[in-house]
Amino acid sequence: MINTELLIIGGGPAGLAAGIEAGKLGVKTIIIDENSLPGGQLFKQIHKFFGSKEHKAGTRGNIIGEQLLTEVSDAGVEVYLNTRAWGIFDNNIVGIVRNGKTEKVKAEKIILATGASENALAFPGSTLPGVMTAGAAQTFINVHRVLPGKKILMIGTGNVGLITSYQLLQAGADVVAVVEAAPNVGGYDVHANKIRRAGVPIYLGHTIISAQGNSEVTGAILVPVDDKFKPDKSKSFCIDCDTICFAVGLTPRIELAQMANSPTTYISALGGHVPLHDQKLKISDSIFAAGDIAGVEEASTAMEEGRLAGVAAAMELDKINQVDGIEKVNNIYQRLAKLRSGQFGIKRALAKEEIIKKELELKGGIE
Amino acid sequence: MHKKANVIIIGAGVVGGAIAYYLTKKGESVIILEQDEAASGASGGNNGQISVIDREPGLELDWVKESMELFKGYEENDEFETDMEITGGIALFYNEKEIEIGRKVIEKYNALGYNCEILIGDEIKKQEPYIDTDVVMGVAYCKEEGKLNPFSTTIGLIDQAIEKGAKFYQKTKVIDFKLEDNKIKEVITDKGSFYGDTIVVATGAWTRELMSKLDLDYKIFYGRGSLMVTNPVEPCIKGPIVPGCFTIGTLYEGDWNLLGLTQHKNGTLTIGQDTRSFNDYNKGVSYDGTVGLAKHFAKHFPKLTNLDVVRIWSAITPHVEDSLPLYGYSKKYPNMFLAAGLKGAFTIAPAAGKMAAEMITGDCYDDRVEEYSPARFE
Amino acid sequence: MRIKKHPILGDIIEKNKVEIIVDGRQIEAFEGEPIAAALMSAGIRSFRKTVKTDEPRGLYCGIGQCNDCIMEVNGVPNIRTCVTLVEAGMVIRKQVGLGKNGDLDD
Repeated sequence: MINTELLIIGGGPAGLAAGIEAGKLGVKTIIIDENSLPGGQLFKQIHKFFGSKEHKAGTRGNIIGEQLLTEVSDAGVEVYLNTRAWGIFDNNIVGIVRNGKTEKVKAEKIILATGASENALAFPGSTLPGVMTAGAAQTFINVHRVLPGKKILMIGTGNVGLITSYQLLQAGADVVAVVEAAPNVGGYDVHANKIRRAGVPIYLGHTIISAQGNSEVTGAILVPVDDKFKPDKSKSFCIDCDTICFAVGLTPRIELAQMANSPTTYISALGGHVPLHDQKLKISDSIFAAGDIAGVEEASTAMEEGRLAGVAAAMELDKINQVDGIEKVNNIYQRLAKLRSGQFGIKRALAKEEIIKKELELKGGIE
Repeated sequence: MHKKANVIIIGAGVVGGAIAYYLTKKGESVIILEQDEAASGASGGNNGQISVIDREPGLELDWVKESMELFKGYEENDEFETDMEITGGIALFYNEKEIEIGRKVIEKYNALGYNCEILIGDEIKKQEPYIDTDVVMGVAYCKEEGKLNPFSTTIGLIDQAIEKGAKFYQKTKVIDFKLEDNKIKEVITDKGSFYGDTIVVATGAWTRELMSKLDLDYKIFYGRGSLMVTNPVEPCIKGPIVPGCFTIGTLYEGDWNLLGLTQHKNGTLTIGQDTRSFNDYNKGVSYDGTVGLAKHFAKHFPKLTNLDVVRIWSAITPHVEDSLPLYGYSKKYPNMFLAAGLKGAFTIAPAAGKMAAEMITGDCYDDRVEEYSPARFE
Repeated sequence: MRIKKHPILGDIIEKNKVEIIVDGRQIEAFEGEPIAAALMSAGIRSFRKTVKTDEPRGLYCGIGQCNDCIMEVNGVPNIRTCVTLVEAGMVIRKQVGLGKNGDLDD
């Protein structure tokens, strides 16, 4: 059995940031990640991040990823790669599979930083080879350096859809169109304008109703939708493409939280069911949830949540005095508040407050 | 609004489902109350095996025989899929002593027309080619055993009942009863009250706790069995495999000698550890239990170690003190019919459900059920 | 198709080139890249056929979550090719239905 003070499950932005904070404060920490490379989805995000300077704005995601890896190793954190957590049990026991062998880990504190998974759409042909998530396309072009196809149709205009479209162009693919059911672009205008300038049409108020092809995608049928998203099939038209990418949102990966008997709540603004947590992201006496598992946001917020959980765990393990700890926590709260401001951020800020309120109600803190 | 029906059935497992199916077939109005979802207890958490040679000759074995015909009927009449397949099944023995007891046991079934034999060593591989015969010394084989899909069967029965007018309330937990003249007048749930002439209690392992609200203490204990399911793989296990102790009625020494498994129609394997009695209703799984079970399976099937386990869970099963079902009317509350603690309920649920429906409507009475009467604990 | 030049990421770093065998055909791959990346760059997009309806499936999530890209690798079915890394001489087969477990052959 492996004994540790802190076990972090997931080595993406949240998990790494948590590990860095905890490690720097002297917490014996292990991060596990099922991939052969840590960093989660940062390494495919080769665009410059937004926000203020303290959020590393202007730095590309993959560069942030490399910085985090250096900091993790400087902080003395152990990282187990190719390691999956397969179960979480009573008394803080976690089952992991490392190099094909199952092992038992007992940790005083556990941080779940398992991230999110991408949503799918279902329509005739949606299972054909050539239909994939935007994240898959992004991983293949930016990490593996392989084009998933030549003529790409992107479904969804959130930031993931817009940024991935632009990066597909950078990688040399032809993005034939971007489709959005809503009447407006979902993500930032800056990103939308970049692809518009490159001559990619954005079909607002449209949806895909089928993918064509027998063994692989050869095209797609698009239709306009009305204000209730009802498609008008009489106005359907065909688009020639060999690849269709879904950028239609993400869902928190909460399986381990559920296995730890954490109550959950459904919050659409955060991507679906999320575990209830308190101000310090605690979902139970010894388990924290940080990053997309606690509500889908962006890598910058995930890192701040990771830091918060890392500091909070260190405080509970008496690795930092309460005064210094509270100061650190307050600084993180301030940075999180900045990230959750503005037109897009405020919805998430309110949603996060709702989680904390529900958790308090459940505890009986509010009459 | 008063929710009324001729019969209120508490519990949407395979037993409650079968009773609802046959009652609605007779035109009775039925309400089914379920604290969780259909097949969310032991009915959904089992290996789906059809077992014969752990059954008592008499009513229980007759139920088995009749149920096989009824299962076939559901599919033949296009009512729902059961995926039933008679494949033959084996019970595992690890030493000479167990084999000897096994021999006597199967004689009893062969005399009744079943086709059973003891297979030793390489003979076992005719049925299960990938079993390690250095680990398993012999098996009791029964040709009439097989497997089915517990989910589609339970849900199929309930859906058919709903089609014939049954009302199904899920996530509706019974919290109390109201009495009048020693009869149950009202079933109180967290979603309001329900009224019926007859109340059927088909609540499996939960029965003792529920009945304590009526000051009854039926000696049903919690058993907990853990199961894991693998990803789908090509056919490699032919029929159901059960621990030999179920057949020969002895207990093994040691912890991990209780392995039961089935490969299902979709290719998945469910691999289970035997149920044991516990005092609490804990559905948790443990690291040691899960890994121990996986290792125990690997010891028996060394060629099947590259399967991926995709999910583990435990199911709470009812263990009645004297191993007999609680089946029939309560003496204390004469409008309450119990159908709980039927061990390995899947194999016998259709016939037991049919008979229960006939007893409730007064169409038939088989006095062999008296042995199962709940009165013995009242 | 491989992305040899990239405005942000620069030129591709040529890793150790190895051969793998895909349904009997030799394919050039980089050691340590996911099998799916080698297949996609060789123009192979259909990885398996489904159990019940024989429908083709290929790469979907790209990060090991969805199991759509599973194939038989060195005789073991259900291997996620998007997260399983290329080794020299790997034998990869399109998985038809539940696939064939090589361990079961004597």
